[in-house]
Amino acid sequence: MLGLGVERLRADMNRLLALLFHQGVLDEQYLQLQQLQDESSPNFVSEVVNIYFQESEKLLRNLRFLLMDREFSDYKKMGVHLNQFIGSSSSIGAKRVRNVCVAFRVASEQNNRLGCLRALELLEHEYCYLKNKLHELFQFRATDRAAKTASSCSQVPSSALKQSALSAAKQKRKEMR
Amino acid sequence: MARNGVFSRRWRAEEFDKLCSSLDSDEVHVLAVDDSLVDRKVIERLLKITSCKVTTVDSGRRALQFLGLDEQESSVGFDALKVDMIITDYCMPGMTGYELLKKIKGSSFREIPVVIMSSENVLARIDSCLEEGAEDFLLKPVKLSDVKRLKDYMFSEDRSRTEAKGMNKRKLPETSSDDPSTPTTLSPSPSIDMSSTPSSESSSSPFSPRTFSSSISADSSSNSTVSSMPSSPTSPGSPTRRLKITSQDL
Repeated sequence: MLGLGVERLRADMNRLLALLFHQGVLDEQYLQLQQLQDESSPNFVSEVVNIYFQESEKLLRNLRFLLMDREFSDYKKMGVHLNQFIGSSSSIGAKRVRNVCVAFRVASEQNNRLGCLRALELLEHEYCYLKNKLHELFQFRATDRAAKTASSCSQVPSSALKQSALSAAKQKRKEMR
Repeated sequence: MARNGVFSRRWRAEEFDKLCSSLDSDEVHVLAVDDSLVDRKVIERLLKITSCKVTTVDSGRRALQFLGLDEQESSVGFDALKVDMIITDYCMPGMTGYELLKKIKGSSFREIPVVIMSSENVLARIDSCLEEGAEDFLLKPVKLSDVKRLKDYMFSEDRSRTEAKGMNKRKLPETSSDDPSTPTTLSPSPSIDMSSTPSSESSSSPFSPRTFSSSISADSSSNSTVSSMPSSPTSPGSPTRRLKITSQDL
């Protein structure tokens, strides 16, 4: 009844999700998280993912801090951070980030500082990409919900509803930039 | 919550009062132990969705304190807070899940089923946990199907059946099928799905028979009940492997 606005949003969101799966950025565990979201816990996915972001950024800082030290030798400590990163990435379905961490861990086990530095750069890149894409996904969802709320006012003529959904979407996109 | 391990008695009394009043004696109460906050959130949600009451703690020591097994704290009456199952991560700083398992099995709480979760599928690890009395071993990331299966075979009919069903030693499927009402997941490790394709179940394993024999035979019978998630939109060629075994792990 809202017409093209909401449907277009959903199609875009699904397309993004499909792309992320195709790229191997996300795996089925992310779908599992979505399955756990319902009316009783409507923000479950974003809550878990936000915790993941906070923890990951701490881990990345720790890893960089360790490696930037010229006299760095505590590969064991690095291994502990990486294990945590691998675990949490796998729990949210962040497949590519997880895989880079695994390769990073191999370099760490070999006491290969250069390999670790390279892996860290790649990890930071992958993590940034993941974070941006997940934020986009959450944006779609937020806009979708706003549109749903708007549509529940049955008194409003449908053209106005469509307009408000579209402008809400535009507003959100503006805010993202 | 204090992160240095000091457990304030006041916190406990208030929290436990709340928990006592909210606990329904019919509801399964699970104590989940994991040092990762992300994993705690996920396991808590998985358990709640399967209608369990959940208490999460971030270390083995906190778990023991909760149960009243920690020597440093005198226990407040814990009978009202009956824990029906403990699910714990294996790799944790301080006390590992394995050490926690041993402590529980050596205590007055030894009847409580303990499930180990691990992201590393090391067979020797799985073996030693099961030998030590773990009820089951789940590979991370844990899925809804894992938790549902666990709840079903441990708490499906009567609570008292959990003692009958408890398997401290890993059994081959033929010997554990005394209960006709249980689903076909007979082995302690049915969550380990070793087949990456439906056809390659028990015969094409490249690994040494001595470590895999019971898992393989268990798995081939239980494979039908390992429910799978809806596949990803693209599912390129290989389905997601739940168990990636390399020869280095042996």
